Amino acid sequence: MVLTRSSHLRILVIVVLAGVSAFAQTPRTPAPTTTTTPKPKPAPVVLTVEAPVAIRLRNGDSTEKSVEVERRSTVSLCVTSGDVRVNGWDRAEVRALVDGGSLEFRVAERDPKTEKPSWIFVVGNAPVRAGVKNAGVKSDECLSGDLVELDIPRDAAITLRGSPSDTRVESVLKAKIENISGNIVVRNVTNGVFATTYEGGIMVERSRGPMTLTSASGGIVAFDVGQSETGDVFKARTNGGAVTLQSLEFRQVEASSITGGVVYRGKLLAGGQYSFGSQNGRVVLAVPANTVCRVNAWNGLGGFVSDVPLQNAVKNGQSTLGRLGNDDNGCSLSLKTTTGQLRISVGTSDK
Amino acid sequence: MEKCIDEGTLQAFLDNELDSEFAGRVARHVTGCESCAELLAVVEEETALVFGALEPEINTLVPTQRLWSRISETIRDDRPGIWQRLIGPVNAMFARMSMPAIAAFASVVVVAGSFVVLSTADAGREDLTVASSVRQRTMTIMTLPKPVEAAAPTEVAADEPEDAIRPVHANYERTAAPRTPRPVVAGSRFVRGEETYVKTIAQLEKTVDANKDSLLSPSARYSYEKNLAVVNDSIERMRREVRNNPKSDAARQILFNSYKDKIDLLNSLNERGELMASLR
Repeated sequence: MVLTRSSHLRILVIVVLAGVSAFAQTPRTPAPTTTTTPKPKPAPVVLTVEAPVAIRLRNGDSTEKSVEVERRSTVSLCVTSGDVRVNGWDRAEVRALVDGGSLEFRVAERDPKTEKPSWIFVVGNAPVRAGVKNAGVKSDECLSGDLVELDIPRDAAITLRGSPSDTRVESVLKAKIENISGNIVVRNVTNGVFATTYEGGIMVERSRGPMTLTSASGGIVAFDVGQSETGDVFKARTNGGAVTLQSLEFRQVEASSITGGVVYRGKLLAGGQYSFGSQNGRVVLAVPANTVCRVNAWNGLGGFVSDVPLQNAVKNGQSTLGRLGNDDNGCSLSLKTTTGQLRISVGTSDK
Repeated sequence: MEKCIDEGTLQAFLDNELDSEFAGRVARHVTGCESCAELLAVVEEETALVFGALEPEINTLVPTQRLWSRISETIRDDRPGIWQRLIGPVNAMFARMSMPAIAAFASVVVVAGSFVVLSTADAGREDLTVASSVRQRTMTIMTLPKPVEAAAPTEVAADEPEDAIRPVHANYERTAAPRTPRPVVAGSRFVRGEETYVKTIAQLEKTVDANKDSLLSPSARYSYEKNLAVVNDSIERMRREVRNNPKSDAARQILFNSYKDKIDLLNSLNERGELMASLR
């Protein structure tokens, strides 16, 4: 049988159509979902990234600004949400970053010679009113975000109030913080710490200057802190937490708690005045064996024990008068409790 | 046995307000009467206590009156008595006598005058005796222990001669406090110094109670109530302790310390409220 050219074409078309038809009718098996591996998402920003700020900025929901200021200046802000990090640096400049919010600088005061700002407010979303000086921060001008970061000159003071989650301040001249809630951590502050939190704890280390630490319900820890000038006072008070003090070099120390304990470990300096108290907690002092101090212990309905022998001790009902050491030129120590326990023990080191 | 001496008289004895004769009788009686000796010791202790407490006031406020008292006594001692006043001119007259007739006449006059003087002196003595008895009686009234209403001193002053200034410290004795100082104020439910704390706390509590529900989160509220309960318990216990042992300064100090803690606790809540309000 001889096939013509047209026959060849017809056969080819038929074969092609049949193949297409067969392919279309082939039953499909659903792809097993268990074997499907999802496409990996981009890796989240981790803290070890060299410049996380820059990465965050690329997201477009953060604001970063800077302003040149006097080295010895004051930076004030209020924060209604988010963690706060304040760090001292060597530049005469304030850099502020709000992750998840906006910010502006408002100059409250300028140095008359250099015309540089000596007091600035870092404010949030509210429009900056030109020409308004010393107006403070209105409540609707508080910063708000996930994280507020500030770099300020080392010789600058920071004033912060608000209700952030946590606050950390390092390497500045002075820190004044008042928070409704959240923990406060302060390090390397050279000339004074005034910290208050109504729900949270406070920790201060390697700092100098007068200190007033107040917590309504959390604990207070201070170590390696001391006075920057003669007469600086250290005060720590909490209603519900414990106060732990170690290696203090102050000559005026007051520490108290209502339901928590108070622990002091370190030297009692000659000529110093020390007062520790707790309503129903334990007050424990661990001092060097060679401590010289007049002791007045008011133990109330609780107890008083001294591992260091008290000289000339006179017990009079609920109080005990005595002396640590034989010298009269020591410090003055007052211990008070209502139903708790007072104890003086020998510390293992001079520090 | 001689009747025991009342406390007022003993007080007057201690204050040297009795005349020497009566004071001697008191002294003799006390040496022989044990109960009066004990009472004297008690009165002496009270006097020392009262004068110790009031010494600054006496020394600063009263010296003028005391001084006047001393001056008037001195004047009284230096003033010539009626006998001296009569004898003086007679002596002078005798000095001028030279003639026997005049001397005889003078002798008659002197004898007659002596009768007159003696009778006058007897009458004066009676008057003095009456005055003395009045004075002693009023002394007793003055030194009665504690009737503050013993406005008797005013009455006494009316009866007494003008130059008789009563010892000023008698006033202090009448207003003397109880034998030992008590921190618990008599008739009061507060320990001395406590009322101020209580009032302050009451004011703070008004504000706190009105706002604490809105100010505190549940966890903060728990912490606050716990602390408040501890402080209240401490205050109650120390109040009992102070009442049982009113002389204990330590107990009072600890009680006041508890009050201070409560004030701080309430204040912290108010300060928190102020901060929250400033952020709204």
